[in-house]
Amino acid sequence: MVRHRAFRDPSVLLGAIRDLIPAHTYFSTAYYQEPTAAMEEKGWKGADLVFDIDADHLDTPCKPSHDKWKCKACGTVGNGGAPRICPKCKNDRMEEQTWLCDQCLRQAKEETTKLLEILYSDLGVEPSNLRIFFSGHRGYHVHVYSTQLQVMGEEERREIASYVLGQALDPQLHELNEVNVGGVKVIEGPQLGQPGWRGRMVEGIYDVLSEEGERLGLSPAQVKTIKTQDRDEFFKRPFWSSVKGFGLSTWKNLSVKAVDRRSAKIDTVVTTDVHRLIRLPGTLNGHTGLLTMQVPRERLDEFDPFRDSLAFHGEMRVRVKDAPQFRLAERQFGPYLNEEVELPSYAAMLLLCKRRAEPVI
Amino acid sequence: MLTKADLAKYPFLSEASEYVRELGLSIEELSAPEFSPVLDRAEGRLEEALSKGRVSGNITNENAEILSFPISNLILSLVGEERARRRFALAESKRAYELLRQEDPEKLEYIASTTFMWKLKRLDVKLGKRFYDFALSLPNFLHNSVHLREPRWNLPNRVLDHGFVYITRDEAARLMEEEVRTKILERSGRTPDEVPRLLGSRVERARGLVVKWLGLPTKYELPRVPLPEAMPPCVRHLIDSLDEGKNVQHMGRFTLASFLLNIGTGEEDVVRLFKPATDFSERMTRYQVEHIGGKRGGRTKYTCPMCSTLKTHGVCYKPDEICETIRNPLSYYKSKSRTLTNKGPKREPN
Ligand code: SF4
Ligand SMILES: [Zn+2]
Ligand SMILES: [Zn+2]
Repeated sequence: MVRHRAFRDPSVLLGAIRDLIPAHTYFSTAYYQEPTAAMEEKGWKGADLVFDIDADHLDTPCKPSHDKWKCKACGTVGNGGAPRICPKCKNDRMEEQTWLCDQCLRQAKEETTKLLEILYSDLGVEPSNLRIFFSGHRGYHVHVYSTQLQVMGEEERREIASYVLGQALDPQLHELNEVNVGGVKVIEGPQLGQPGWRGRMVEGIYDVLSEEGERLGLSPAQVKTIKTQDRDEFFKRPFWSSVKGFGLSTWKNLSVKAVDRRSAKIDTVVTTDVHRLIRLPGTLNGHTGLLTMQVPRERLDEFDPFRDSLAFHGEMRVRVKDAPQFRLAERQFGPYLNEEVELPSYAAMLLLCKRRAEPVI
Repeated sequence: MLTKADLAKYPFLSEASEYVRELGLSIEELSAPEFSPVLDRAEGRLEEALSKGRVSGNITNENAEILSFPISNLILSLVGEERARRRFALAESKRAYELLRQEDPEKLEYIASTTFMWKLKRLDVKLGKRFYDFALSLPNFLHNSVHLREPRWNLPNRVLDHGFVYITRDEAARLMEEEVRTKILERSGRTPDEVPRLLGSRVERARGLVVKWLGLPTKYELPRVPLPEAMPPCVRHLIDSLDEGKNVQHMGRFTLASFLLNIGTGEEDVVRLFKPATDFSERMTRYQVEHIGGKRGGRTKYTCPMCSTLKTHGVCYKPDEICETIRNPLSYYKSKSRTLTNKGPKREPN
């Protein structure tokens, strides 16, 4: 690994990349007095606030069909995302075999959209002070450039991460409470349109109620009432006391679910780290051969990572060991098993990078 | 905006320092008999802080109140005892809080924005039953709130609106208490070039007070731990609390002692760590530490309590992402030291 390098201008950097031909290129989100000095002597001045949303940390239903894990200690294997600790030997070192998947990336994009909304309206980040990047693999990065936030330490960043995740949010501290109004017990709580998590919690409750009502123990009639209600109308009324059979504890549970629904599933470790290395936009991701690239804000909706980040042209012959089905550009590929195929270079590169194939010379 | 009475209440204000500077007094001049109330109050502040952890907010002599504060700080910096500095800063900041919470919003706003450089907006908002007087910029809020433990200070439990956190008047005073604390810590940490002769005896007396209330000076501020950066948040917090002279309950002490002994800290170091505690008894502590370490009694070395136990006893403190993967503070230490000594991220960034 080549580390602690600094470059005066982009052309020098480009020259170095051409010399080294690295599989992965990272830059530090931190600003240093002496970027090339040893870690302790660099003189930390600040770091951009970064968020990482990655399918690795998302709970998508498709994972068991395309991801596998193996415990490095005892060899236990399983399908889907790796558990934090091995169920058999409690070790936390896992080896993962992941695959690119449309559904996972759609979910990652949705989380990114939720994150952006929180950044704009709660943290007050100006859209012009933020950039969105596709990681070239399974997720998105959001970088916030702000001199005010740059100097924050780990603990402050941890608070921001928990805010975005709605972690340990206590609805009662947002004043969801039972109060006594002239001898009648009434439930009061946040209202739609209030700032921050107060309003967002209420919006989330609507989602949860209309999508999961039956599972939550609502009667079909209650579910129907909610679904046919105009959302804004319903929430204008003192709705906390308007659903029969819903007590404080039910509402509390619902609120926690609502917050989870509306929170953005970022990776806390990345946001908290003030010396983070993050993929350099414009370089290839060595896990896939796809481009790490900026996605303009207004194009996030239509951005298709499997079409817009392809870097290679031409055709290539490879010998594929095994690979599940996948899509790149508008084409479906695979599944393959022990066969030699001629593929567009971008697809061949993906298989090579994922070590699912070998070049045929 | 501020009267002399205000400066007496809040001698840490920039205006108060300015006032003192304009008087142009040298330390030597303070030896004049008419200034003895100043020196006595300076010593009084220290003694109150060290003995009770509080400095009284009663003001009988405004001048003495204003002038004594920088002198207390000067004496402290000459004593050079970290534990005493922390304790003094805490006591003085508590005093400030008690006074600040009684002020009207205009004065709070003035002090916050001139002395602490807060970006603060006046608010007139009622959400639910709570009335918010201010909205404080997020970085200013976090800078102070991260030191506060109750769940209501955690950001997810706050109202955050376009980069500003809504706070009540009392909360503004509480956050300012934190500012005062750090400001005083920083101030008493500056080393003056020379010891003014007049203060020599006062400094010696202050040293005596420190020993009387906090025990003998320690050689190390922190116990010698193989990898201090790998300690879990709960353990760090326990050490900080002891350092600041806060009272730590039995479960906390037991956790700290068993944790440190298990990762190989010497018993002497552990005993010494407990010294700043207000009710420190060397013999008792030594006995307990040796007991936990397995030297006494059944010779079973105690292991550290599980996180679940620590959570119910309120010892768990701001668990972080590593905490989610472990069930005992010792495993936290093991896991983090591994990452730290591996140099570099455990998993490659994506
Ligand atoms: S989770 Fe365990 S290790 Fe982490 S802070 Fe709580 S008690 Fe300490
Ligand atoms: Zn295992
Ligand atoms: Zn998937």
